[in-house]
Amino acid sequence: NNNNPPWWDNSRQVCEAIRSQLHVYDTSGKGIELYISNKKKTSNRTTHFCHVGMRSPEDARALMAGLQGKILTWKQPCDWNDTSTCTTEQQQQQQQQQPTIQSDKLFLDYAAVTKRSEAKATAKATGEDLVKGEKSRSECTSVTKHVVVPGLVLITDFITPQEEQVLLAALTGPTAPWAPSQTNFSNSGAVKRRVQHYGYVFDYETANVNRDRSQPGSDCPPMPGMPPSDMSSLEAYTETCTAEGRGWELMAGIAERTRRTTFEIQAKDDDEEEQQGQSTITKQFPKLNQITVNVYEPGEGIGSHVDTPSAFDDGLISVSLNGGVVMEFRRQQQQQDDEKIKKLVYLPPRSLLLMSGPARFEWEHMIVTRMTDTHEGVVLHRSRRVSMTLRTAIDLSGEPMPCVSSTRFPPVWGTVGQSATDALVTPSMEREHVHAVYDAIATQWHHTRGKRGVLWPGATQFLKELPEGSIVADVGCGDGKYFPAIWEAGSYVIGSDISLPLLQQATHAHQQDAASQPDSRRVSEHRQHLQKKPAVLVADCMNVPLRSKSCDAAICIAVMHHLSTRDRRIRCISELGRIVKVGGLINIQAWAMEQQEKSKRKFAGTDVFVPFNAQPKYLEAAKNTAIATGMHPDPGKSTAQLYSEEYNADYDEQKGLVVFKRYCHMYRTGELEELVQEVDTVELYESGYESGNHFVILRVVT
Amino acid sequence: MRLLTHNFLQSNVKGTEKGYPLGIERGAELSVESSPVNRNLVLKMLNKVDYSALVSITNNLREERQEDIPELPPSLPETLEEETIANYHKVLFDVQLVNGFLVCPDTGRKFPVKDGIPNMILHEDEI
Repeated sequence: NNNNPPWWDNSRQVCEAIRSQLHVYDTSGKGIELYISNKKKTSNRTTHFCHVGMRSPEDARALMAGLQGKILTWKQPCDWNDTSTCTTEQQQQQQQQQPTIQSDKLFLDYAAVTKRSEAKATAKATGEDLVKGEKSRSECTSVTKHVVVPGLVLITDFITPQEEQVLLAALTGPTAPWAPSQTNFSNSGAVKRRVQHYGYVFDYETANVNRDRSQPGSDCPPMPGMPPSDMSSLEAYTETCTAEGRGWELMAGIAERTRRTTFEIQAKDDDEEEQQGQSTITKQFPKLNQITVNVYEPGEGIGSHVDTPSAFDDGLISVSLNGGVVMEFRRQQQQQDDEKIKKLVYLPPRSLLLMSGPARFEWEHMIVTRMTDTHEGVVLHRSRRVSMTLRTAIDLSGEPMPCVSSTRFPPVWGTVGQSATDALVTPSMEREHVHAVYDAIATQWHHTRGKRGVLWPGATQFLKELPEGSIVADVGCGDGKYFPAIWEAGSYVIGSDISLPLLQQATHAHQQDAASQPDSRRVSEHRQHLQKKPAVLVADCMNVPLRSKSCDAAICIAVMHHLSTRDRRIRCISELGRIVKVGGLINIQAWAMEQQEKSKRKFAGTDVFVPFNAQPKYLEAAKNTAIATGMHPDPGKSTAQLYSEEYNADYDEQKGLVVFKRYCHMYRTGELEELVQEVDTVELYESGYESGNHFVILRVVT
Repeated sequence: MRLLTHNFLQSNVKGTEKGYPLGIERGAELSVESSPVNRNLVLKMLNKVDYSALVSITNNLREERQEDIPELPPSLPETLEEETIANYHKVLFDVQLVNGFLVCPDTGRKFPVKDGIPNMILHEDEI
């Protein structure tokens, strides 16, 4: 029009037009960022891409929800000229003359700005206000229906949702043996995502498998193994493991199921004629000896690659857990053409994908880094995907390596668990996810739990029945909620706990109680005196600082479920047996895997993180104490910062809560009894289940 | 920390033969309050304590606080006078270690006591 290019050829005006319709989705007040790129696709047609930068994922999602699939109409914006506004008649006229443009049905997709692009943006300094978005346009899987990747087999629902939950709890939970040597790779940048190898380590720097497990950096957990006695009844075994939440054992069962699966593989190549392609071959992969577990957070992917042929045999198997993803396959050798042959395959959660033959050796596979995938026209938001890749590592002559496996959980490898004193050293899991947590939450713990005086009736009854004047050791006494019951019974309690802040709560609380008791309810003055100064010690239950055979009884309530290895659990029982006199009784209670129907607690696995929602008002006090006592490294940090960074806690911004992760081992029925058998000094007197807890009462025999 | 509690404490430092009884380092802050005597409990407790350890720690503390801390008979008498029971009560329940150090008899390792709470945690090289 008028020999001038239409307004929509002016990127700035297009930006303004789009901005006028999208700005309502910006809740930050900072405005949205727009970037128009012209991408020439064919000689006579230009495709425009508009990258929209929202300030938060919430805004991006709201925008997608509001506009996906809509058709928008844009008019020329008013303020197209820098210096004037649309007040003049000429401009108004011009506007009316300029036709509007209409969008196609909008296809929206989004990706998070990665750290790399953030760094790029920073490097660009202040001059530029536009950040080029990550590649994010996802194609639909249905578009590639005609492409066949020979040797690719997808089995949906290879595992059940119940199995999936148990596996996830084991693979991402507290006892997942993510070896430190492999986390280092993520620091060096070779692998960004979280990776753990089992059986043999795959070294990303050399792109080869480390065949000598004794070499430094090559020690990794063994493959989970099945007891030979269960091999004849695999399904019964996996069912039991699932029901009992035994993730490591279930992983062994799933690996065995994979080894026994007969895959029907279309043998035809895509060059061949359809009718010739009827031939299917069957294959099994009974020698699978390596598992790689990857955790892909939304937006994470993996570059295009073929797994090193000299490291792994034919047959790459990937089991997807929790989240699905679209995997892209490309022919490795093909002409440099824009229209590369490419196959998109959606891997739903709980599916198994086999790459065999050409799919394994001739096609590259990758996962694009983006937040969404498009499967058959539907945009799917990615969620965390945990993949379990099973492969057969081979030696230099191409023969499968031996399968190094262990039925023992948690798995032992390298130098871990070699010496007898190892059980006595506090594992970092307990230091970070038990001790540090209780130190931080002691005040709130006492206010919301201990103070209310919720006691296990069984434990109270046990204490009541002790002869008057007994010396009772309360190992892991916390804030001393059983002390009053012991005093009530006319006995003397010595409490020990690893958390000084909890013991301080115990001291403080009973002092207050003693002072505030109304005269009418007054216990004896003597008891009041005991209450004012309860006997408490900071001590480790691995080394109880009480002389042998000195106590008449001991209780250990809600302590054993915070011990992270079997050896430590046994040690705890043997310490209790050491300090109590022959004939004396010990009461141990711990959290049960089996929770009652009505309980809000359900545990997916035996080893889990149980969240504790801490209110900042309580933490503030703990922080101030830390500053006052000089324990606090950096008083400048906010409470939330401090706890999320240094205590490995999450921060729930919306609720304003710091969510601590407490490590817990849930005991199966019979597990405590089984541990007791390992300790010579005690015998089982009674055992049972009470409100979500297993308990044992032991009698000291020597 | 009461001397009754002290009577049950031992050091578990690697290399100790017995780690018992723990000494109380000189100059420790003690508190001695009077509390009503629970005759029954005192008699029961006397059967539970290691009597020689109780006497030896009492004698040690008397070196500094003779006026507050009663002297105990070197061995447990067969019949107890009311006054003796009161003395036992005082030693077991009323004498408290507030701040100071407990000392392992075998290794000399000191365990700090702060605000009446002993810290018996061992370092990794001590277990």
